[in-house]
Formats: sequence, structure tokens, C-alpha cells
Amino acid sequence: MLRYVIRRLLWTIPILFITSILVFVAIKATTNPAALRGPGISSDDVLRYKQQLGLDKSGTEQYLIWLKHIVRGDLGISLETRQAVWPDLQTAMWNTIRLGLFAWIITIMVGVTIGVVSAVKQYSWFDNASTGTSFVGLSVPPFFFGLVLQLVLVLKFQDWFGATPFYTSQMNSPGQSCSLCIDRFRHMVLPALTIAVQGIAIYSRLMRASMLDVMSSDYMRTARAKGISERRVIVRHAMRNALIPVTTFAALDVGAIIGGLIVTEQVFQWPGMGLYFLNSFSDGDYARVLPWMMIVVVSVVLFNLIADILYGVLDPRIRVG
Amino acid sequence: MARTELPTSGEVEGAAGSGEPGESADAIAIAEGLTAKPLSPSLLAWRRFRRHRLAMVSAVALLLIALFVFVPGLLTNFDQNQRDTAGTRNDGPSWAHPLGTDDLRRDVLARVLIGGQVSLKVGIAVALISIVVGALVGAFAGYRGGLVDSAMMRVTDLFLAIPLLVILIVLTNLPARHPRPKLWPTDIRVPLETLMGSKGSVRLIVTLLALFFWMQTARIVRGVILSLKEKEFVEAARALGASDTRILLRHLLPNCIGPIVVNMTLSVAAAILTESTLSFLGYGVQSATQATWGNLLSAAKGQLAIHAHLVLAPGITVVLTVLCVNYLGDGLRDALDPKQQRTRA
Repeated sequence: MLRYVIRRLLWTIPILFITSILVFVAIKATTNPAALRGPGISSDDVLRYKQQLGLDKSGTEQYLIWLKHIVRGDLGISLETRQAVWPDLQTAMWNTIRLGLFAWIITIMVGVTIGVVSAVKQYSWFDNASTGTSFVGLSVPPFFFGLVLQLVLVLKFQDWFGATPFYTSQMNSPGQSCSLCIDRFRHMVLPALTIAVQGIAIYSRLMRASMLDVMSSDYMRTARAKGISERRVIVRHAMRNALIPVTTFAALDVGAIIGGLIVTEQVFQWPGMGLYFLNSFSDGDYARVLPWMMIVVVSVVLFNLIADILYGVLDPRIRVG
Repeated sequence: MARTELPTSGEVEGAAGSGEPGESADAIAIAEGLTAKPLSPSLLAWRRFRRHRLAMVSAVALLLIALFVFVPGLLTNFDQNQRDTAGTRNDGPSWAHPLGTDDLRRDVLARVLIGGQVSLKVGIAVALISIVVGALVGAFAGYRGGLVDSAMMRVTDLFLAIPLLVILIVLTNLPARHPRPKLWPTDIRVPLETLMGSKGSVRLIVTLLALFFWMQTARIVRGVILSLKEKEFVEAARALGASDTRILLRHLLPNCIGPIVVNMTLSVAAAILTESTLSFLGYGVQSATQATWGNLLSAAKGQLAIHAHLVLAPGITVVLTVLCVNYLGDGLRDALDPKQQRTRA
């Protein structure tokens, strides 16, 4: 097992290296730092500006300089604000992680519950209804679902009842900045629901399939034959094993949180990684986009690794040398 | 066709796209195969498809949506950019404008219908390209293995590390920023825009989506080919002297038709959703010339509080279309891939 972990860890180094090249080339080719200086800029100024940023050097040289800095943990300075990238990026990261993990917990709890009940009562009305509804969940674009939530639970709610417990944008009401309080919670519910709806559809189907798979195996019959109560058979014998594939999936999803909430953050103006990317990319500020990209890539690769290891730990059958 | 079908437990229970137990469909096939002249696989598939009621309804609904979208004159007399100077701005639904008007007095119904042309075209074009490329590459990789196989798997692994939406957003800027990439050989004088389409065009979106969607298909086809290539019928074909190309094209690929077709419907759905998301974020098709479901939603999101119809009209249309495509895919899976039924989600 240890050898497997070490081998997988070593394998991430070339992956990160190659993605860093791809990311660097792609971002440099698609952003225009000169645009930041406004339209009236003279060609001399452009030249001076480029020299200042080291853009007159060759592409390889620029890449190596950037790599050297980023490996040391120096994420650089924003072209636009002329301030260090890391403080803002860090705040954005925490904001996204808060929202993402909250949504992730909702997703897993609701999704797994629906999946288990569907599988245990296969072809019941509940099973049919949840399978049918999961198609709807998969077919609604997240941004539209977010807008509908805003419309119904905030705007219309206000018309009908005079007040609403939810908010459509930002993380806190003006003047408040708490992170573990009811005000934050009320801001977080709608974006979290928007993120969760697709996940719930996916997890409930995954869990249902996995449960059905496990429940048809021989040891389930053995467990029942021993006289164990049905409840215990399902919880201790079926669910525990059925959760294995779901767990790896869930680990992958945690890694995807950091770069994956772009649409929701845009709809709800949640000041996280998604908004950070959209703003800095439309500004042409590659100095802010590049570190963003690397953080996202590292997060995905890291949780890929964790998912693989988890799979091996939980299911001894798949353990590889 | 007029012959009554045997009543089975599956028929009684089967509702709401949940998929009937595979045994009943097989039982019908066997029972009918014994009683009358042999039935062709496609006829059997059609029978299985017909039993999936939601898929049948969805197929009809999709045909209707396509008809209205490509022949908008059936429902409205306006064009997408035509301003109804006699009407009022942001008007709610009325007889003249069944879905109301927008801030420039344009007919929302016309814009939703004509915007749908882009969405449907993007969906179908991306699915077709990615199916052809994905099936060929996947089949080759699975059959030959070796370098092509591992190279393909590594490349797809690599792209999984960056969120697809981010790659797409970044690349929409590429043709505008780099008309003639430096790395190209000097004798190639074709600007990148003629290859990929210019920024904000439909063609650019199709190119970019196709560029990333084929990998999914390739992975699936590769898996099927890997499991099929050791089967006896392939050995038999080889013993008879069939070439590799013939084995691939005549024996292996036709056996992948189920997963390929199912994957294609899923690609259509995913492409429509991705295009609308890109347009919503402002990186898709430009709204000034061509309406799409995504950019209609994007333009309307600021007016959610006062003119909700501007958001609901395109939004509900996207949901209905994608939902129908997904149900259709589910029905096709039951029809073409009956073995998969028992374990699928």
C-alpha cells in the first residue's frame, strides 16, 4: 500500500509540471496585459510596460522565471492593483471552500439517503418519483436554477409574506462580517441549494445503483439467513459496502470545489474563486489568473490522489502492489 | 405491429423512466421469437423503446420543438431583431406577443425560438463531431493498445485537472488574440479565425466544445472495444482472413452502437447546457447579432425583480429541451443496451 501511495505521489509531479506549461501557454496566449493600461497608451509606453513586466524575454524564459517563483510559493503581484496576489486569493479561496463544503454536505446527505431508500424500495412510487426527478435535476442549467430560486424564494416571497429569510447576493448584510452566524447562513442557503441540486441527482442515482449491486450479492442472503434484522442488514452490511464507490466520487468532488463554483458565484455574487477568475480574466490580468489556475489544478490532482488511496483502503480487492 | 404484446410484470410496473426489469424485455423477445418469424434486432430495439413512455413523449416533444425553432413563422410574425415600435417595452404576455417583449420592444417568443436554432445546432454538431472522432480514436486505441492508447488516456487525464468551463472560457479568447500563432510553420497563412471561427461566433463554440467532448466518447468506446476484442467472433473473423480495418469497422464498431448512440444523446444535452452557460457568462455567442438561450438569460438576469418573464421564457425552454433529450437517451439505453439495465443507475 505504501509503495502504491509513493508511486502515485511521484506520478503527480510530471502531471503538475505538464499542466503548468499548458496553463502558462494558454493564459499568456489569451490575455492582453497592455489592455489594462487603457486605450490611449502610446507605443513607447507599451514597450516600457512590457520591459517592466519581463514580456520582452522569450516565452521559455518567462515560463522558467514564473515557475521558479511559484515553486517557492511566491504567487506574484497583480498587474492591475499592483498588490500581492495571495491575500485576495486566499480570502476568495476560503469563501469558496465554505460555500462548497456546505453544499457538498447537503449533497451527500440528501443524495445518499434518497439513493438508499430508492434501492431498498425498488420500483416503489418513491423510487419512480426520485428517478424521474433526478432527470430534471440533471437538465436544469445551474444558473437558471439559481435565478429561479432568487425569483421565488426572495422576490416573490417578499411580495407574498412581506419579508424573506434569504438573500440574493453577497456573503453578509452590510455592516456585518461574521462567518459563523445566522446572517451568513441565510446568505449561503440559496447558492448552496443551486450547487447541490445537480449533485443530489447524481449521487442518488449512483448510490441506488451501488446499493442494488451490493444487495444482489450472496453475503446479503447469508446475513439474512443468520437472522439479523432487516434494518441491520441494510445499514451494516449493504450500506457500508455500497458507500465505497460513492466515497471516492465524493473525494473527487471536494477537489473540484475550488474551481467549480464559477456559475453559482456569478449568479449570487459570492466573492469566491469563481468571481475572482471571471474578474481577473476579463481584466486580462494574467498575473492573477495564473496562480488561480495552479491552485485549482493542485487541488484537483491532490484529491484525485486521495480518492485513489481511499479506494484502495476501503476496498482491499482493488489494492494494487 | 398490430399483434398484441404479452402482458408482463414489467408493463404493469414500468412507469416514469425507471427502467423495467431486464428479464421482462428479454422474455418478450424470446417468447415472440418462438411464436412467429424471427424478429430483427432493430425491431426488438424499437419495441423496447416504445415501452419507455417518457422517451416516446420526449421524442415527439423534441420533434415539435425542432419544428417550431427552425420554422418560427408558425408561431410568431416577428424576427429576432425586429422592434415592434407600436408595442411597449418589457411588456408581459399579450395576444400580439405571447411571451411579451424585451427592453428594445423585440418579441420574446421570436427571440427564444430563433435563439433555439443556435442551441440545437450547437448540440447536434458537437455531438456528431465528437461521436465520429471519439468512436474512431477510441476504437483504434482500444484495439491496438500500446502507445496510442496510453497517450490518449494520459491526455484525457491531463484535461480533467482543469475545469472544462475554465478551459472553454480561456480559449474563446484565442482566435482574437492570436490570428497567426508564432509556432505555425511560415507557409501556413490561414488565420486561426478561419479554422476555429471568430470570437462570439457559433462556429467557435462548436469547435471548442467538440475539441473536448470527443474524449468522453473515446473513453467509453475504448472500454467496450477492450472487452469485445478477445471474444470468439473476432477470432473467427481473423481466422477467416479479415483485415484489422475490416474487423474494426464491420465487427467491433457495430457492436458499440448502443453505448455510442446513448452517449451521443448525452453529448447533445451537455453541449446545449454548456453553450448556454458560456453565453450566460458572456463568453458565448454575442447577443447583439444572434440571440441564444444563454445570452437571453444573461441579458435578462438584471431585470429578474421586475420582468421575470424575460428570464423564465428562455430558461424553461432550455430545461424542457434538455429534459427531453435526457429522457430520449434513457429510452435509447433501454432499447439498444438492454444488458446494461440491471446495474445502471
